[in-house]
Amino acid sequence: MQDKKKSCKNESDVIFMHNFSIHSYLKISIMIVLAFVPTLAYADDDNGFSTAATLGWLAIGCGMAANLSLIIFKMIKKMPIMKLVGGSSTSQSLTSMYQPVLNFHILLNSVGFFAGLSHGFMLIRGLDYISLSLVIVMTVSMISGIILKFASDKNLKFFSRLVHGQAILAALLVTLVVLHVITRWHHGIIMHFI
Amino acid sequence: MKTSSYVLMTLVILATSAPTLALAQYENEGGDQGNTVMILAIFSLTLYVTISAILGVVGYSIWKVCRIRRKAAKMRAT
Repeated sequence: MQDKKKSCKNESDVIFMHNFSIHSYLKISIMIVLAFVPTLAYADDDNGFSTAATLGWLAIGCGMAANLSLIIFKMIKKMPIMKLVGGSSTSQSLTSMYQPVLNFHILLNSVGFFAGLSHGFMLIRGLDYISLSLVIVMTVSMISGIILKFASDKNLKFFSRLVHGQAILAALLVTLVVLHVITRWHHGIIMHFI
Repeated sequence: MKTSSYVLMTLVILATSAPTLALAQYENEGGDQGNTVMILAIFSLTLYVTISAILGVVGYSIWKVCRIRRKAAKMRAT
């Protein structure tokens, strides 16, 4: 009976260790720290509009870094092995690097999304059609990304992959960001507070 | 990527860029009451284009998933 109890305890310990290793703790803490990055925009700042504008620029920067890194990585990965400097060894290392690059993409995009969300809530009185369109596109991309990451159903995963990877959605997002910056610039908000 | 995708993407970009052109026109003409109404109408176009594009993407994805499922079912039957 005691042996059985001991083995059960060992088993649960193994499961616990497996699920909550130091590595996973590190990952969770990095995710939490990154989620709080937008709060840094409040530091040493006594002007509400400037904070909001900083959050907007932070969202744009995070989005650019997150998406460009993944696009460049995928472009390099698609290149023929012969063209790569290290040949097949480079190709192998690229394959093993995919997961970290993907995690970087997810983390940075999440930070950008939350920064954009805070920016939107702070300047909600200036809501216009372009900002609303931007919110819709960002939310659709985020939701499809979350479904793609966590869904286990094959059909749902395929559906979210199709939605998330649409070039039209990406083009729409870039166009709307550019339009948003141009129109806000026109209204003089950025020029006045920077 | 097919040519049709490029054409569709160009159309979406052109349609969403319409407000910038309208804004330039508004600046050139000084901005009276009539122009403001027109500007608002053109700006609302962006929202309609966005919603239609998203609905189109979601619809296309659903159609593609259904088509693959139907094909798989057909292959299993034969």
